Amino acid sequence: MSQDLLSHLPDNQPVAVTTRRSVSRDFLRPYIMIAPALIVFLLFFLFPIGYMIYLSFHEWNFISPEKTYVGLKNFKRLVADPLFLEVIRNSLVYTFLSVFLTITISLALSLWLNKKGWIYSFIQGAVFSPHIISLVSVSMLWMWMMDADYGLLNWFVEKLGFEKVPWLTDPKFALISLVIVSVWKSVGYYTLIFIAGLQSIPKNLYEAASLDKTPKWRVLTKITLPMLSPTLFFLTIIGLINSIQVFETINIMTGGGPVNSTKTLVYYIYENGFVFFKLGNASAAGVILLIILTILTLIYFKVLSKKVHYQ
Amino acid sequence: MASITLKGVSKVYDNEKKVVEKMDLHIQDGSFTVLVGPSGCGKSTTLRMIAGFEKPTEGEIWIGNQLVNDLVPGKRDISMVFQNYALYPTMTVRGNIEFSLENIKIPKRKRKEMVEEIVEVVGLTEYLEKRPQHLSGGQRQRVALARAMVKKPEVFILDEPLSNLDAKLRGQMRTELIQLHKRLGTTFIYVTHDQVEAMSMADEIVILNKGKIMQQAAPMVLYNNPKNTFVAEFIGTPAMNVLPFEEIRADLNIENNPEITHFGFRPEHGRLVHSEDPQIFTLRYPSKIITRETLGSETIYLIENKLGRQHIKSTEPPFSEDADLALCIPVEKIYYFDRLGIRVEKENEAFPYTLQNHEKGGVKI
Repeated sequence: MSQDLLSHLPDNQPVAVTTRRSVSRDFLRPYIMIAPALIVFLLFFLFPIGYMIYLSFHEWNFISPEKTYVGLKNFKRLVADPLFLEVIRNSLVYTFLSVFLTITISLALSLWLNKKGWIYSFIQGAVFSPHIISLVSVSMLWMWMMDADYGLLNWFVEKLGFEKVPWLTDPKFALISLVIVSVWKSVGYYTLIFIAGLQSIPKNLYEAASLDKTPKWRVLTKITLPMLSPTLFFLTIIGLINSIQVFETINIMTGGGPVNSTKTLVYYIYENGFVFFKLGNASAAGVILLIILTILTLIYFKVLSKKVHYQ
Repeated sequence: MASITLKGVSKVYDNEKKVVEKMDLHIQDGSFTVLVGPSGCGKSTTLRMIAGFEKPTEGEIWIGNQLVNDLVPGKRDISMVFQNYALYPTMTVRGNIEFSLENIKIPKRKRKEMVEEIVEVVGLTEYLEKRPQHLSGGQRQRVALARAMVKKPEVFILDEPLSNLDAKLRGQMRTELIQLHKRLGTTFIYVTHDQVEAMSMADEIVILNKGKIMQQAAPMVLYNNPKNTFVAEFIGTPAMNVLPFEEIRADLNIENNPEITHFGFRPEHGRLVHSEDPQIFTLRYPSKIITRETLGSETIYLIENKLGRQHIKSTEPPFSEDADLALCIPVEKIYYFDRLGIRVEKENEAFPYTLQNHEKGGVKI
């Protein structure tokens, strides 16, 4: 029966005859096409990571031809080092504080600015503008503003009748000051993404809610925030990944001080590697950073794949 | 339950385009009223003004005996079913239906009772804990209906609720909506661009075009007594054939009425016969078939003759496409229109048009 149904098909399908040469050419072609990208990837991403992991098991001072294998000694030393523990603490405090503040402020701003009217567009643009300034300029600017004696901030503080705040020179304030700079720089960008998220929420959900006599705060907690949760999650993870890698502001504004109070993970790695030439130590810390970032990224992709696509 | 009255309502957007123009509309308490018209006719805007999402530029909107112009949507005692359902995607079916009850702080036990009663009606009991995105289009539509019904509103507004469903489901939901209206007895306002939906469900149809009401009447009145060519051509599939009057003026035995510029007849009233068949109607024109759609129980022809092109619907066995045919038009079934497309009726006493004449057809004795 099945033969009958298939009888209209030709008995002998001609098989494409290919020469050896063309087979090998077809096989190679895609690899040649992606070769430039692949080479860059291997050379500048995979190789350094591999080399860093290799170095983390060795002691090396950057100059001597000899790299001594020391096993896990670098890691053991790190874990035992009170400075490294402080560095981790600083990194976590900085990261969570800046992400929390940035998210909260930009969410509030986006809820306020998500309206039509030139004034809202103007404020949105103004808030966004720090994002396009280079971080080095931002650092210089804030260093001046946060100067204990001549800074703009303290001028205001004094005008308001308070005592001068040693923004960058007191261990109690320095890390917070850096958080302020980071928040100031990224709030505009986050606000923009939040507004985009808000605008993708179907308008008629709000119309339905208004017919349902929904009080304002319930509209926020039951409709806006749940609908915004993918954006919220995306920005939180991106924020965590970015903040844990903070370097420029610290390098320019505080140099990790005063008294290591602003020394974070990346600055610690830089200092160990390129100031003290303890490459093994730096690499071990680098591996720890890599692990943290990998975990964050995995969480991101895990949740992203589960993310519900509404309607 | 409440009636709805629009008094001189206009809506003008920023670009100074009048979407709705001086509309006077009365929707009877407990009626199933369908607003129908082509896209851009202002039907959705009218609906959104009644619901309170848009403010009228001028005029008054009354629900029952309350002027609602400045009332927020939540205080108008209205429920709405949206075209794309507008279910809250982050809540379950129960959450969606319960939401409005929670807002007005109805106690939990009472809420549970009300929700369960309503899902029973729409047949969704087993889906209570599911989220909308796991439901089919028809089920989502039912959730939207349940959410609207649970509030026991004075007015029920439906904005093209069936347009996202497939043809079969649409037919089924139409019947369900009619039954629902009978059971609730609430005022239903239903917006659609589909005249079949309008004809099959409405107690009363409001036909809109370019922000103005063309005619408001019961379905069969619209069909039998269209006030203008727009209504004549909008209601019925295929539309009424509207043609220049010049060609048949001489064939009709009437005194010259210069007002009349067009005439029309419905596709189902024209009759195709073989050209050798005896004369049965006054008007007879040799015609040829251009296209033929055989739909089973009926056949729709597009024919051409000296009057122009017309659609003819016939329940007789289909003619072959090259048949030698003649079109016969019963004089009683002809509608006359003036230069502006307004129906010319009573002035023309030579052809009194009454519903009772229908059965007689156009047979010339």
